[in-house]
Amino acid sequence: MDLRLEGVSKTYPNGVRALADVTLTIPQGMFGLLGPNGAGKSTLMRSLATLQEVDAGTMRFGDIDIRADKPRLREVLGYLPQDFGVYPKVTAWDMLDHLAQLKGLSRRAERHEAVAALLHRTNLWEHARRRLGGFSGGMKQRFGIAQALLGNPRLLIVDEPTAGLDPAERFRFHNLLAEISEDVVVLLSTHIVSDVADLCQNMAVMGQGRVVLTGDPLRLLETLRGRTFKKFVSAAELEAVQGTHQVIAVRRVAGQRLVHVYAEARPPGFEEVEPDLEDVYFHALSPARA
Amino acid sequence: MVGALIGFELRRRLKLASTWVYAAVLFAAGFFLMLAAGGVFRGVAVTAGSERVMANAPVSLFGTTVLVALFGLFTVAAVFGQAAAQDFGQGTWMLIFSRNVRKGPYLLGRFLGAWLFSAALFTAIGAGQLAGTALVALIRPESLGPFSLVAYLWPYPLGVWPMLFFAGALFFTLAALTRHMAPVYVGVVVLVLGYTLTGTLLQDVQNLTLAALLDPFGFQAFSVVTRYWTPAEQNARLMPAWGLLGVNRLIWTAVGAGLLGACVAWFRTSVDESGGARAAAEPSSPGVPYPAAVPDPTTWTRARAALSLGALAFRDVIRSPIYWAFAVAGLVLVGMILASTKALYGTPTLPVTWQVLEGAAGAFRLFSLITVTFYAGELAWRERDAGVADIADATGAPAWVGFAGKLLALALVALSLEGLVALSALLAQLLRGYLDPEWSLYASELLFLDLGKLLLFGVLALVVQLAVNHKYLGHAAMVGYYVSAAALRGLGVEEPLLRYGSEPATPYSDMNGYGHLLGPVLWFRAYWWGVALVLLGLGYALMARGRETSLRARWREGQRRLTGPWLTAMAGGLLLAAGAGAVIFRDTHLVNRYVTEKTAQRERAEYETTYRTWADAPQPRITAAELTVDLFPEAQRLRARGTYTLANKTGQPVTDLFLNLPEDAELAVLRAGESRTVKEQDRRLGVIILHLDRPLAPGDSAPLEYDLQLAVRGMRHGPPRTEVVGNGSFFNNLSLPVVGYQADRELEEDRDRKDYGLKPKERMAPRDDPRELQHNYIRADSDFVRFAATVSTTPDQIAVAPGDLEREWTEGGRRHFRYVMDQPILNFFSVLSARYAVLRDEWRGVKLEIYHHPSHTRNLGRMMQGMKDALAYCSDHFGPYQHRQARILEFPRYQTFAQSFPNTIPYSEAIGFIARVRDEEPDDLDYPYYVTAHEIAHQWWAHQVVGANVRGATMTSESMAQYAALMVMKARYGPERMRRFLKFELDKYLVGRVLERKKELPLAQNENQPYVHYQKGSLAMYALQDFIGEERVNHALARYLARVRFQGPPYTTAAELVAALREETPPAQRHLLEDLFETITLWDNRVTAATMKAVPGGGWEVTVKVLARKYRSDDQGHQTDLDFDEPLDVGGLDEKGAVVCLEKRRVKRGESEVTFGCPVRPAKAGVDPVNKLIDRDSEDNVTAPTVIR
Repeated sequence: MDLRLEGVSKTYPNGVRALADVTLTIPQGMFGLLGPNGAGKSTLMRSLATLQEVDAGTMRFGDIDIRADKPRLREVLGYLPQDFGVYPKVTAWDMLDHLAQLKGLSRRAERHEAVAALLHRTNLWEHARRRLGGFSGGMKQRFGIAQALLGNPRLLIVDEPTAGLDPAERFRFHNLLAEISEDVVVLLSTHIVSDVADLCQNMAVMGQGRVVLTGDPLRLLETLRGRTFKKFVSAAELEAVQGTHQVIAVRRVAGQRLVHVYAEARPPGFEEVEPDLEDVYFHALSPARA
Repeated sequence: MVGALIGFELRRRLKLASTWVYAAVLFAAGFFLMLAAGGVFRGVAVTAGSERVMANAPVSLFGTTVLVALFGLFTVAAVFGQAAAQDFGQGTWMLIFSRNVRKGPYLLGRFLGAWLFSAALFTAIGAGQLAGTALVALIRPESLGPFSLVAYLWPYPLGVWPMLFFAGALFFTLAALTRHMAPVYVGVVVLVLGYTLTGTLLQDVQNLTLAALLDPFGFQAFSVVTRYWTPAEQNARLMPAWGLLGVNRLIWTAVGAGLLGACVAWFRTSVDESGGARAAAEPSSPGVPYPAAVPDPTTWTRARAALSLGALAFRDVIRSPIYWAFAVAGLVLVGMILASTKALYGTPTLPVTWQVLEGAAGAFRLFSLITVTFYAGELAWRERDAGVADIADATGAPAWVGFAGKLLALALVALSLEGLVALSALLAQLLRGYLDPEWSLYASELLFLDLGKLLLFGVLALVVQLAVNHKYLGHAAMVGYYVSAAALRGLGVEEPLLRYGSEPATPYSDMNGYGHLLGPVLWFRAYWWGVALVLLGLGYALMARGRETSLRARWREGQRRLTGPWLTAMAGGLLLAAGAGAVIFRDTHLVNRYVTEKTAQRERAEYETTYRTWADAPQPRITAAELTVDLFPEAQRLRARGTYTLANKTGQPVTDLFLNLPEDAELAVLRAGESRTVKEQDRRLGVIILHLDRPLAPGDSAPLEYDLQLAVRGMRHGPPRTEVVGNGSFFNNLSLPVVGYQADRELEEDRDRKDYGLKPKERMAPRDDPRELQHNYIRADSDFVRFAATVSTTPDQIAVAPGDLEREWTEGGRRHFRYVMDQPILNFFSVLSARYAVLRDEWRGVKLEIYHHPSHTRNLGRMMQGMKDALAYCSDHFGPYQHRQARILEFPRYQTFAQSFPNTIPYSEAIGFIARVRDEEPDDLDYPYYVTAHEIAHQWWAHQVVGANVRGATMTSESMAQYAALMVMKARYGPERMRRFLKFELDKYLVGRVLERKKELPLAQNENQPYVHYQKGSLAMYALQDFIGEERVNHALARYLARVRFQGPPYTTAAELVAALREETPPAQRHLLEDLFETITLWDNRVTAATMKAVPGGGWEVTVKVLARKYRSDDQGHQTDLDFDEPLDVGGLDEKGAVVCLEKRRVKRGESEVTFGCPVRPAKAGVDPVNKLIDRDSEDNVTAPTVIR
């Protein structure tokens, strides 16, 4: 069972081209989707989650044609939207139980067992009987994760799942994902590069509706190894560097500007640096490349 | 800063599209109401309202403007609410309050901005009225009076702007303190509905001032101030700025200012973030395995999911404060209404189940509709509003699960509302000691009739929400729908099949249950639920799922949803609607004639234009009636066979017989002597002209034989026939042939007549009209007749007609009764049949009987006593009773009156039988007793003395019956209780003359005008007997009656009656006859100061300064001042208002001083202290005297 996208395109009525000929194959395991805001990640994920129509292309999950047979896909889908709300007056237990019913977990005992287990696994068990209106952002996010995992989905689409989680929570979430992802397709969108670095066997980078890079993170790092160089610069120097070099990114480190550039050979005044996934990401998106 | 905020608000509002939409709506409201008032729509619909008040009369303009503004509050509620809450709603509060802003000026600026904006916005109403006036001036200039711009502007400073100030302050405060808009919307609904329902306070004349002051909008104050204004005053006078209205405006402006003060005091400039739950250390629990449960849904479990979805959503609803705000407000108002509902003369009825339920459900209906419409929006948007939609939509649950869940939740909301109605009704019954509620009626009224209908509207609202897919547009569409549905009727579109959810009324009667009135409702329900099923299918198809919400995308997706079962259900619905609709259409259009109000009006005009010439044709009189009536209650059918004896009392031969019959009578035989030639038959107008083969010579007689059937044939448009019903048939002989052209079928109002090219006409002929003196006013085609009848009915019922019961027998499984009258009666008789219990008694050899519904026994004693007392009073003072029996017969509540036929008094179950007269309650009026006495008195005044068909006729019957009833009541209950009764009569008279559509006439000239012959009749006769003495009045009446008893043509007139009174009236009092009977005279007596001092040896000497005036009014209410010097009451009252001293003293016009003695210390003293004279302000007749030494 893998997820195959071919030539998927979508243009909004206002003319914004959200997806442009996206072709991707997403195998079982964790797949990270990186990209800046507005790159089309959420559009893609919503389309895969049957909430939006695309204009062209095919999307298949195993033998399910997603565009034509939404009900079948929904049976095997777990989805955590980027933004979501809750019924403030309903308890976590009741709401999760309700969603479990909607997902078709029909046997009461089994359903309650699943609800209880997920509340435990997302550390919400203590709060099961509390109204969701009183939940903090992190708790709400964990609740969202819990509902996405209901019903043992074969395809899990999680849009920015770690937003709002503190490091410990994030760590636990990663573990949870890692545990279930072995025979499941997990599509994870994020703009936190290290999420992908920590978790994903495969990744893609999107920019302006296109897939600009795809592959195995380790292998992608390989492509930059020996070609990434850094230098601390002043404001005036930066301008010069931008004119003469292929700049990957500019960061601030201890109050100074640190510029990473891509080059076939070490430019004078720069020193080689071990590339990280962020370099891969920025390099993929850098205008020079595009 | 205040100025800056105001300017900001005004500029912002000007740029909003909604501002211009609101302005357009207000403009349109003013415009169209002016067109309607000006009679522009008269071509298509029947116009209500008096033609005597001009469309641009200052009072009309004031009323309309304030009323439109009242409903306009729905639009500005948002303006005020947003002015207070927008900084919180949009998160700008941090930016504002992080600066050093003082909250007083901040709030005041925001409020004033909103107020000034609204004040300006609402002038659109006046602009609309001006534009409307211009158009009316072109089309119907005759409905306009002189133009005065001030009249258009006057409502603002006095009505609209203060109203906006108070209501705005309330909305603003609600929003500022709660920081949400929801309380504002609840506030406006509660306020506006609460206002419309406080009108019930006006039912009791003692509450007028209270109601005027309590109403925050000043509209009741406006109504109370102008309550007695004649058309002439309405056309000319501006609302006075002082008085009740001014006080009301001051009170509520002060309340508004107080609210703003409270708002400033309690407003917090900080926001508490809701404290999130932060568990200290959250133990991870990795030991719990990841669950392996996978979806395994079946249709059954999906249905269960829908159920729990509905339950969850409903639980949310009833936890929301908005729901409870609606519910509690509704309940409070229902409670107020149930507590204050008075049937007659401020006296309550028993809280019988049907009445309490109709009251509660009726009062709650608007709340129910609003609540259901509101929650249809909330439920349609529930997932999306909460942000759960993406999650829920991506689950495997099919769309119908969500759809069914919403529908279920909405149904539960509706059901819970009915539960609240039931609860309030039950409480109303129990708290008043009524311990026997009829549970089956609770079920049928609320769960079937009310809930079924509410759900229809719930379905519509939900489907509209789903289809429009925009919550506020959806609400706007629903409001638009409700308004247009109401407007359609106003525009003459009466077709019930076109007005969603409409159905005929189903009044429940203790006697007859729902009877045959239930059937039509079932057909209409089938029709509308068929339509609703189709709507549901469409709503389901168009329900948004996911992010693709364009109509095209939803429809594409929806087509896939409409699977076999859905299409089958929709097709079933379509079939049901088509089938039931076809049946209804057949019944209302083909089987029965479809007659709208406008058609009926047109046909009256046609009757006149077609047959007017027959008014002068010689026609015979009916001199005897012999008939057989077979009632078939179970089939709502009757057969009447009979013979009228016709006598030609004219000097010319009669060659053709002009007969009127109900248009739906099925005629089997119609024969005059041997003649059966129908010369002309107009089924539509119910006219048959029979040609007499041998003309009826003067002085000759011939029998008119007829055999006809009257039956309910399925459903019919308009009010249903209720003559023959399962239990409680009541039929009178106006449904049998009536001879001659009937002038009372002609259109009455001149403006209507003008529309059909008819000349203006007088309602009644002058008192000396030689032709009309030949006819009595009850039946022009008959004098006193001999009467005998055989009536038959089902074996379990008793059928009754006037006369002695000569024989009773059973034949062919039916019960027969033979009634014979031993002397001539008016040709005005009734037949009643029901499963009666009978209470019998006797008075001086006269058999007294009350035929009543077995359980309606509570007031039988009062009625029997009323019969006896009235028989005794009338026999002793006027003359002998002409019959050997007197009967009261109960009939179902399809009509609410009692009526006197010869020795027979049909009496509606909705009045005397369920009255709740509490002997310990001094305010309660024994109206079962009073109504009975009135009807018994008619046996003298109508059935012995009957007036000619000229002006003043009803003074000889109705006013005299009122007088007799008053005297009987006075004897039993004492003069003190009469004062409360007369207070009601005074109010009803003064209101009646304002509502008069044509012209007011003096009592002895009245044209069958109820407020004149009943109410003014009571007042005038009571005053007369007070001034000249009851003995004298009775003596005059007895002599008059002896003279004209059973007098045929020429019939007697009120002139003769007044002359008889004059003979007995001392010369010094004769001006009273002029004032009370022959003219419209009003007094304006007031006391300007009063003092008293103790008299040595006991008692008090009281001096009152009197300002006395007397006016004469013309028929439009133009008044002229009269000079006078005549005896008036002066006296004192105690704390409870009881008389402690009273004497007649001469008082002259203008200011004067009167001193009189009082045995005890009076609490109040003055002139005409107990309101015996007609005085428009009866409150200022007395004042508390100050003590001097």
